[in-house]
Amino acid sequence: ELENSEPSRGRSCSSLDKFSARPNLQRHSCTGAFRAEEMSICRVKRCLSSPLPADDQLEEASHLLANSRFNEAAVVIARDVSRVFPSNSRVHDVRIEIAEILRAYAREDPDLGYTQGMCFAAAVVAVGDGNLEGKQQRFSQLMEKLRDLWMPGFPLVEQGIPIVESMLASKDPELMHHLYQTIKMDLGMVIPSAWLSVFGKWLPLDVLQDLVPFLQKEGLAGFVIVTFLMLLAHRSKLLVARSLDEILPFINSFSKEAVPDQLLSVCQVSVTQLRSRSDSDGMSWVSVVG
Amino acid sequence: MIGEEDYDHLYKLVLVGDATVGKTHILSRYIKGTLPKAPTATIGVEFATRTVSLDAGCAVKAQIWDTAGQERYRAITSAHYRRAVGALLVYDITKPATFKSCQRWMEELRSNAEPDIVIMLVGNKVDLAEKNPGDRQVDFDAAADFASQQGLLFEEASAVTGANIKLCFDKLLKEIYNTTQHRRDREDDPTNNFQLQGRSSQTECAC
Repeated sequence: ELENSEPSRGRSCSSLDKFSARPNLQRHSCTGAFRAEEMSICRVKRCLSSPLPADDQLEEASHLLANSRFNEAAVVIARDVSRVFPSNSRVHDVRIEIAEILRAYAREDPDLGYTQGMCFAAAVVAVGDGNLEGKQQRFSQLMEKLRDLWMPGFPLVEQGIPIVESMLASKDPELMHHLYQTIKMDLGMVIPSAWLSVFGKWLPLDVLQDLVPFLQKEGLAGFVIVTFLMLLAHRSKLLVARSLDEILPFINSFSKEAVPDQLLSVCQVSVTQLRSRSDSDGMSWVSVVG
Repeated sequence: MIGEEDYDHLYKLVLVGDATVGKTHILSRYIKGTLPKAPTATIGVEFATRTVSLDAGCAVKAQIWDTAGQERYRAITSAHYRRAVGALLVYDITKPATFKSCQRWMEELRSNAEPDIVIMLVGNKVDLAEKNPGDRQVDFDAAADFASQQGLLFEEASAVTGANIKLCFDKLLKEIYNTTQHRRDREDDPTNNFQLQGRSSQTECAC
């Protein structure tokens, strides 16, 4: 009913913009807040029952929908915050702040709200110095650069996987051949987990505290470089793996391996080098990091 | 459990269902016999295997893909449904919204996985209802009816106590075996060769 309604002719832009940002209600599912959500949908339908709803009705519908989306985000945030870095005592001390940071951001950016994985980034910010307000600001600044990681459709991940593939094929064809031809693995099996946790699934928290500012500064290029260097750092073990059964659990447990020496410094140098020269085959990753 | 490389058939399975219904706990209980030591939300997909012998006398290797439950992750996870011949569709018996979502999960599976994918509907967290009957929000009969109407296998289980977890996988693997065996028999039947020419087996046989 909502999808087919024609609410907007001759109405103000602001109301229309808010209305057009509505979520797909039919696909919307939220544990916990489910009953409240159904009630909200009924109220929204009432607001829009007229062929040409008034501005205030559109405003109310928009407000209700935003609240519904926030409720959904708040439920998932509450569940995830208790599970992020579960055995880390520093994180344990700031779990309430992590939840506050994520809830504040979900209100600030309703189009994104909360995607699972953002809690890793919030945890890195929350264990840093400063008061809650300062941490919320830092998280918002971080998200200015990284929100496309977690936006619906995961645009940064979609864009980044072929770049890492291209870089690996160019710089380490043996490893690339082993992964893609011998083992039949593709990086789409491991990169989402690594990137959407800002490498929290691959690296310990103390490393992330230095790495996340680098990722914030470099954006996609930073993610590409870190991934590439992590694969290179573990290449000898990757090359001896003989099946998906061996290689996927190994990659997913990079966090149990020793952190590559000088990882951040090497990442910084590598990004600089990539920016200063173009590759012989003119691959697209050069333009991305450049 | 038998040797990981000593198997006759390889079956790709996927674990799907809303966030926090306990998919990763179910997988850990089945693979390791314990719950995850440091449980975190599944981001994207994770992977595990277990090789078991079936009553029919053959060994099958289950290659199990555990997927993130949040709806927006379907953009990533649905790509991994390809070539899956079985699925555990999990809901939380204390959260009716997770049961209501099963219809959509099922459609998602049927449109992205193999067309005759075998789906086992699993009502998880039955231990909570055993402790406090008031916690149960999804009736056993309602779920059983839904499963029957949709042609799904169905069990209630608890990853926390381990109740029925192995049974769920065993029943699913047996049904996949029967389905694929039936198809192989038909393909081997010379009277069917004409119609079935060009069809490939959905399972990878390692014999």
